[in-house]
Amino acid sequence: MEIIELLTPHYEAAWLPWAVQYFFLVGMATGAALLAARGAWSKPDAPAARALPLAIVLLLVTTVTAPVSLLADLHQPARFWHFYAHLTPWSWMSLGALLLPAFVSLSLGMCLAWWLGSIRWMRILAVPLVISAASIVIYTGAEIAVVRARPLWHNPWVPVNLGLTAWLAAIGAALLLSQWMPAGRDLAVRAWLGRLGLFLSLALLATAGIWMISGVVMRTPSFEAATALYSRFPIWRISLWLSAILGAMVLALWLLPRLWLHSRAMQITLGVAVCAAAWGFRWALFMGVQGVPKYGAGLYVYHMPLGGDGLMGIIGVFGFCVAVLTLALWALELWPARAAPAPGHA
Amino acid sequence: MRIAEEDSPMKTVPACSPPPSPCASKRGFLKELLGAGAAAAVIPIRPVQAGMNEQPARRPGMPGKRFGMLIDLRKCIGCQACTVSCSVENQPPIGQFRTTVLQYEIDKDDGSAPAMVSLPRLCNHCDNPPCVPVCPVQATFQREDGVVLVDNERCVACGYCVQACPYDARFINHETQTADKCTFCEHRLEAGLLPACVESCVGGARIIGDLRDPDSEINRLMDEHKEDIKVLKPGMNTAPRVFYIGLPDEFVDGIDGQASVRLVAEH
Repeated sequence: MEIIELLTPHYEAAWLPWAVQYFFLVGMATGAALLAARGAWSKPDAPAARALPLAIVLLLVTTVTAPVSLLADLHQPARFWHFYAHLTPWSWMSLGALLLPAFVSLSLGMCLAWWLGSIRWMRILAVPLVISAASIVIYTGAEIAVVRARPLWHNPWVPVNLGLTAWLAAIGAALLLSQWMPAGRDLAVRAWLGRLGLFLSLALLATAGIWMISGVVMRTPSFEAATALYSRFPIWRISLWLSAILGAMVLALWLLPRLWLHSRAMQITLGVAVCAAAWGFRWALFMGVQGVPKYGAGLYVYHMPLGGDGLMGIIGVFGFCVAVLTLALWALELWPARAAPAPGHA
Repeated sequence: MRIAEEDSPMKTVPACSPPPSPCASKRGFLKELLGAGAAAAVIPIRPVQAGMNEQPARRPGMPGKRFGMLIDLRKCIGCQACTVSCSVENQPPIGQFRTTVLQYEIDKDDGSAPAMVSLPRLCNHCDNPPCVPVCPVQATFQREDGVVLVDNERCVACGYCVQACPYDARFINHETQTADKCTFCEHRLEAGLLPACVESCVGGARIIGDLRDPDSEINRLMDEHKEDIKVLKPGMNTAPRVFYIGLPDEFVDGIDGQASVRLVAEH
């Protein structure tokens, strides 16, 4: 028996590409916060401490731009104050509206402490910043995972993958930043970033492996839904294989640091590839999964508008990141950060 | 206050009862969690989820009532009179619908003529509506009479409720830029009128009524057809209050078939 749909309305994606940008940037921000906290608590000659300028600039850029993307994803951005006028403790999104400003404030505080060269304040702020970063990872993951209408979201793997890919993107972005910042000229810093990248990639591979094995053995709903998409739709097959190829390429580069440690072109390639993989995962997770009908057959086709709700929005957010980055680097040239005191003073 | 269990027609219509706990979807998530248990990385997920995403208290509605709808698919001819009258009554933007009739062709392998299924769809006004607890500003809420509504002056249009609805019954209205959905025409019910879709249905396929009134027509019909009453996606544990007579089993959990012309038309 075959069922053919003759007439159904066109269902649109309710979450726009702004959501992809928000989850990408805020995830990177949590990664940058962890790097900064690690650096604050390291000895001054350790790679983590020497990578601090990279982590701080990345933290600044992503914490400034992420909330803007989030605000833009509301179809009524001017009503954002309703989040605070009508607090809703049982909604993850409402909780996020409290957690995000705390994270942004702590992050900016950390950036300021670094600029003022106060290692003491950096160390004091590092503790709540790590907790706050964890709260962002948990709330963004849980917000997606509680949506039981979508089996591809309603599983504990999504928060883990969001976290790991975001932190990988932070490493990739730090590698990109190392092209323009003196801290990146330090070989030990790049090698340290490479080791972190390898560790995160292996963790991601292990997570994907456990998801697949548990999916095959226990026939979990998310795995069943994913295999159904894979078997029916070429776009999902192509996406999966492209991401597998990209993932294998990145893993190979992490494993063979000599291929990229001394080559600017390869560092840029690696940095872009890692960020692109993390961004692509979010695109598939948000825009792709929203194209999967909850009831009907086939896929809903997403037509990306060229304006603010689509292409221009995506480019605009990246442009905003570049603008904030340029401003930050320019400001640092005019008013350099005070040198951190020797470790004995801390 | 939860009135979910005692107001339900479930006692008389066991066939449409949502599965008792543990519900299928929770089981699914737990299954995933079990798999995840192998990886220590996911330990934070479970304790944090507890206590979140629970249904808030309902707001006052028409006292003593619980509205529900029964749709007799044997009487639906797919004329879309309900779609048109709803659009006239509620004025959603062109191309967006609070209710509509999905249409399907069923081809059997035995060489018989294709059969047609017309499936009217609207908000299910579930007894456990997943769209309500996700709303970050309590703009979407359920009344004690079961009607699920959106306060579109409070709605920030984050789209979270649209994601949470397992029935694609919600949308972001292009004109108001807020979440929109079927209201069971509560403004007409308050005035003692029938919802526009019910009033205009040429076959009399849509029956709305008070599920708490043992003598209501909907309860009488549900009792009469209790063996053949189904709801959409019962495994989602949403306890829908739109019931169907004559819904083929292949249509209960979603369509496993060929997509509609929209794919072709939009390329």
